[in-house]
Amino acid sequence: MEAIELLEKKLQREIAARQEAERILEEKSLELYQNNQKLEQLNGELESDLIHLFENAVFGIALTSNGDIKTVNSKFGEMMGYAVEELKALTIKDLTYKEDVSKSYQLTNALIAQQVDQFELRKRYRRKDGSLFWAKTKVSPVLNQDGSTRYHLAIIEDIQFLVEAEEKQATLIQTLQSQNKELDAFAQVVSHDLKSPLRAVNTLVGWLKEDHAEAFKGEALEHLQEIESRIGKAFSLIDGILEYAQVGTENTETEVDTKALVKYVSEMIDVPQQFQLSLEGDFPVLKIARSQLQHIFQNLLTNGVKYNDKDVVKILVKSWETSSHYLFSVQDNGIGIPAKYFDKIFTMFSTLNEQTKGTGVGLAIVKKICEHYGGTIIVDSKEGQGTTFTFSLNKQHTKL
Amino acid sequence: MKGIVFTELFDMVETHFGLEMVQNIIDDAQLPNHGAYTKVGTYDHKEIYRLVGALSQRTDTDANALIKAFGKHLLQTFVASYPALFENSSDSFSFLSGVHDYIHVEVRKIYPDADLPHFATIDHPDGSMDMVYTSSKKMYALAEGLIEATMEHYNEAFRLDKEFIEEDGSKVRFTISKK
Ligand code: HEM
Repeated sequence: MEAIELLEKKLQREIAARQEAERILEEKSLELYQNNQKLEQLNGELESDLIHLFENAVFGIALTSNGDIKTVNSKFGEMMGYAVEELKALTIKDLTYKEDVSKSYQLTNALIAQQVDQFELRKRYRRKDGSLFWAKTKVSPVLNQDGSTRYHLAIIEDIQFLVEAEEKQATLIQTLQSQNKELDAFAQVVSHDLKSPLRAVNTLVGWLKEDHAEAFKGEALEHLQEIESRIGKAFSLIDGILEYAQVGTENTETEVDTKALVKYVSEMIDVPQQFQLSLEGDFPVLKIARSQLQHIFQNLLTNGVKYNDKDVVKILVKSWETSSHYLFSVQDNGIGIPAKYFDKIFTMFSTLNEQTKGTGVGLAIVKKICEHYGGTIIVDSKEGQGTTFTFSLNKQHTKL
Repeated sequence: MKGIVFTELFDMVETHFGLEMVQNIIDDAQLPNHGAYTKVGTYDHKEIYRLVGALSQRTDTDANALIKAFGKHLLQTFVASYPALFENSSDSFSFLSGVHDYIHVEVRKIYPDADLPHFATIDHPDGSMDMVYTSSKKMYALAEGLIEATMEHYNEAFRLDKEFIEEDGSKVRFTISKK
């Protein structure tokens, strides 16, 4: 083949290829154009969605740049009592209560310096009419593609009602605390004032017995002794009431190993010669005021021993738990309690027995302690066979 | 198959065997477009086999040897057109292990209809690397040429072993050891 012919053919090929390339190019351009139109439409839809979101938000929204307001939604205008256009001519500082300006400034500067990526603060805004309201403001940057800050987006939520409620609650708690203190002091005074005349009577009876021993004999002496014993009871009654008033005021909660506590209590109380204590179940370690839990066990164990006519006094303490509560039961083989008294025993000043051994305050205190820890106490009993007290403590209040 | 493969093949044939050979293989292969390929077009990949087949007959050279030589030629054009791709890797292995997950991925973004092979690379404790080629195009010889030229581009002495996992060449293991 001639060289010229070859070149001609190559040229033809290249012309054909160029035409093909141009056709492809045109096709691709059209495709690009159509894609672009689709994107523009999508963009428009997205924008109108965003505007809808912006305008109908339940929060105020403001876009700012260096503290200048670029745009706000109508909700923010409504909150501030300004027209949206008026706000655009103002700065954030103009709208912030003067006492809160500096903390708002500090945080904004930290955001600009990129020390934080967003912040939230509570501050007071000043409405057009000069009135103030508390709001929670959350500020985050809106970035450009290159990472620089386009503007700051602030979302503002009016929390005036919340702040007012919090203030009310705080005053309420304060009042309650001071009332509690007063009550405590009152209880102390009352118990002191009640005890002093009793003490005087007691002393007088003592003198009568000592100085006029020959005059008080037989029945008369018995009566004096009865007076002394009744006075003793009155003393413990007053102590009991004082204790009842103080349940829950002590709040030094520590880790308490319940098993060790039960054993300790059983060694402290007066027990008869023949006494058997058994423990069953997994005894937890709780976060609780030790003295209060000790009070519960002391009371229940003492009752089990005191109201018991058996030769061998047996007490069984069990512990188990549910998903929400720790439970304990104290079972004795004592004289039992008639069913009709099951509720009454937990009220103040109830002793069932005429030759009473207790003051009638103990179980009321026990119940109050259980309730203080989100639990309760119930009793089950068979006369002549024994009694079981079961009490619960809420885990939320007592878990370590 | 992308048009660039055809235009580059013609380039190589013209440089080595002259323009007449280009015309001859175009005539022999009886192509629907009479050899008017453009880089941006996409063509039936069977046409490349027909062209290589024709060249093989006319030059009395093994077709795979020609494809391998073509692979070497292609890599040089890649180096000339996309130097940054090569500068990004400090050595041959890091470049080769990025072909599948990086380079061919970018190729597909530009040409969504590109028909690319699959490569799996495995590093061995002794410092050698396996590159397992899988493709219905069975152009392992092209891969071989590309790999060799890559090693040469990075100026690294090497040994290249190939093992046919599938006899028909649709799956081939290359083991590259640096010397
Ligand atoms: C800058 C580097 C590279 C670029 C830009 C590139 C680009 C391409 C393009 C455009 C195709 C054609 C696809 C089609 O026709 O549809 C292709 C095919 C191919 N490439 Fe690459 N490639 C590069 C590096 C490599 C390397 C280093 C290897 C081998 C290790 C490789 C192996 C292959 C093979 C074997 C094919 C043929 C298709 C097949 O066998 O299925 N490529 N490549």
